Amino acid sequence: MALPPEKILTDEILILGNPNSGKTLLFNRLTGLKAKVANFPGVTVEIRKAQADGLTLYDYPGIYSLKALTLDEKVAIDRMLAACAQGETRALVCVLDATRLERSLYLFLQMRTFCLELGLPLVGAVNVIDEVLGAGRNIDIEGLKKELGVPVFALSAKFGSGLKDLKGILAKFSTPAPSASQMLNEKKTTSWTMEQLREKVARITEGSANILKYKTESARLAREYAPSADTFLRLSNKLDAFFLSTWGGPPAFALIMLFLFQAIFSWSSPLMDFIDLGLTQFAGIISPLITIDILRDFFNEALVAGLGSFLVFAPQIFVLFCIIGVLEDSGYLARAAIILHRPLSWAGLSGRSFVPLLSGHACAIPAMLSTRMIESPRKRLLTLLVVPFTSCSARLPVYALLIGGFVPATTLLGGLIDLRGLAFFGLFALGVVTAILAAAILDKILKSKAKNLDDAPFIVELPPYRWPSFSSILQNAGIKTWGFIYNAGFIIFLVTVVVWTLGYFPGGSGDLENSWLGSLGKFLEPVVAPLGMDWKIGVAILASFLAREVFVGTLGTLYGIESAGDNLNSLSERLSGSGMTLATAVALLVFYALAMQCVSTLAVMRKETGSFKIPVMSFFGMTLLAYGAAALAYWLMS
Amino acid sequence: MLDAHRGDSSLSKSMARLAPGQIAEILSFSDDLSESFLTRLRELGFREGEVVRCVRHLPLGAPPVFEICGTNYSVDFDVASQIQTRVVTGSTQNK
Repeated sequence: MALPPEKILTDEILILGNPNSGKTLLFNRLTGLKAKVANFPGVTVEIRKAQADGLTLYDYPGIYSLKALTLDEKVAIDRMLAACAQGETRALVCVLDATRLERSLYLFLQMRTFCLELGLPLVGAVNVIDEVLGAGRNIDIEGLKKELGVPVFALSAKFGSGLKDLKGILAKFSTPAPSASQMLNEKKTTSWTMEQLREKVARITEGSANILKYKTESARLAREYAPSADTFLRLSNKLDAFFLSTWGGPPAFALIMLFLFQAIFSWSSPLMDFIDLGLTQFAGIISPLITIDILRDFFNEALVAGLGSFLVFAPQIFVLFCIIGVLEDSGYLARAAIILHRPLSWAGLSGRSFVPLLSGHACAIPAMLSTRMIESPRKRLLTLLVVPFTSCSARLPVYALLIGGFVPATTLLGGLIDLRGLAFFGLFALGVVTAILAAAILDKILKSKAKNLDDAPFIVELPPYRWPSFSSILQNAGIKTWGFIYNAGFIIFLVTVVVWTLGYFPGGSGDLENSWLGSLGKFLEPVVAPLGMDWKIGVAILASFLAREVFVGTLGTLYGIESAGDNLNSLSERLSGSGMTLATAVALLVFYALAMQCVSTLAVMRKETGSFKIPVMSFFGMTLLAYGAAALAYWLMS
Repeated sequence: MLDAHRGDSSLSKSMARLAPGQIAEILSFSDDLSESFLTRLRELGFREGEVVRCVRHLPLGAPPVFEICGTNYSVDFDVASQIQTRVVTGSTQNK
């Protein structure tokens, strides 16, 4: 949950640490939440808060030091200072990565100086201790505690070990008892202004002498109390010898991407068939029990045909979230970002743009937020503008519907490649290629119009490879899929009710042509006719400008009314049997691949760019491009 | 430990030109690097006197990987070419 900007609650604990040190996993463990975690630096770009044991815990984006370089670091440090200035902060927890202790200690030592000056307790949480122990090594926690003069605990947020001790000490901050205060430096009542706190931070971070002081001290402590970091690099270096090699790296990347899109279609098919069958059986049982005609029509045409058509595609969204989860957890994403840095640079983007572009295939909104970790303001803006071209999960139902109806279910290369999966891959590739071309064009425009957006150099940390936690990936994918269905379901339900009402009256079921919606649709038909589409498709497109996932539900409702709920064939079969040609289906696919049909995306774009003009231009630009490309595709296919 | 190799040789070259496996000591930074980015480099461990190892060069012109302070970083050529180093030891073969 993102922190509302204005409100700070009482008894606060702030959790900070280096990127990818496991802060969010620890936060989840302490609060019982399920915030997104991944083995990639910069996943947390918003501050999250949650209540636990009488405390309010805050999870901050990762920082390398108290001196910010990227936007997410600036946000983290400014908000930490604001929290300290308001006087409700009881303690700071610094999460240290046991496998990279030297670098973690650099921030920790800065934070220790800062906390000492403010009289705030600081607690060290040495995370990932399981990997140190697994390598047959250990860290001298008692020695570190004595040297640092603050409480330090070894723990594994992944497996939950060592959390009890940390929870025990944090509990003492909820109601400051004298004994706790004596032990952990009593909280001073002195309040600080932001200006004073910024000056303190500047005194700690500015100048070569400060950097040298903290760097030398962190190196000494790591040398004395922890095993050499080389121990933990060996496995990663061995795997990198393949994944980052000339002969293995690019083919491995291409195969992983092809596998991702193949799996979306082929793995989810059995589950989709199951849901489809379940819905048909459910409708078959319930429908005869409804005795009032209009209610039965509403149930069959709006709920089952409309909302039900959308539900069938939920398994594909689940599979997509699962595979992205595996890639994130394994540490491979950072490698892919590096391999793609040069090709993306040609289009004015950066290797860091890869992660938002990939996660945009799940949803553009978190993807746009994740652009905050891109150091260069120009590259960040470019990435933000082109992320909506990537095929988000809301497009999946539309793709699946049309591919299911018009692409034969055959396999190639002896069953190795599914033709429908290949069609999926083609559409996803269309989105990515368009995003990169659009970035290249926008880059030229930005270079001439916004010279103040300076570039920033590229440097990326390679996280260690880790075996993904499949249970948490499945759990997270389940939560996200349900969240998607819940949020989209509400809007689809509302639109479906409106569409059904307009399509049902005045003639009732089976008289769609002469309904109110029929009149409106025929008025709009000239706009979609050049793409070979009839008025029903036009109405579904119009309704889906609010949110593209509405398309399938709307079309389901329209065909439901037309056939008076008697036709129990799937929507794909109804579409292919409706006279729609392959050329029209391709035009429709191209339109949905490129059009901007998501009000939420536009709202986030407005917030992240601070400009009203940018989302407006993005909306019209993408829609016109989609229309033009769809018309071209129709003309070529015809 | 990389520290064990400090100060053996005197071959000076930019970090971008280090061959895979070569270990070098950082001598200086170009004035063209912005103040904020130079600070970040130093915080990550890329500072004068520190020992860095070129782990590997990558395909498709991707930024090479360097090990410093027990962590691997991919550093763009634009940045690496602005860091002057003195080669200490190491092979010139791609590992």
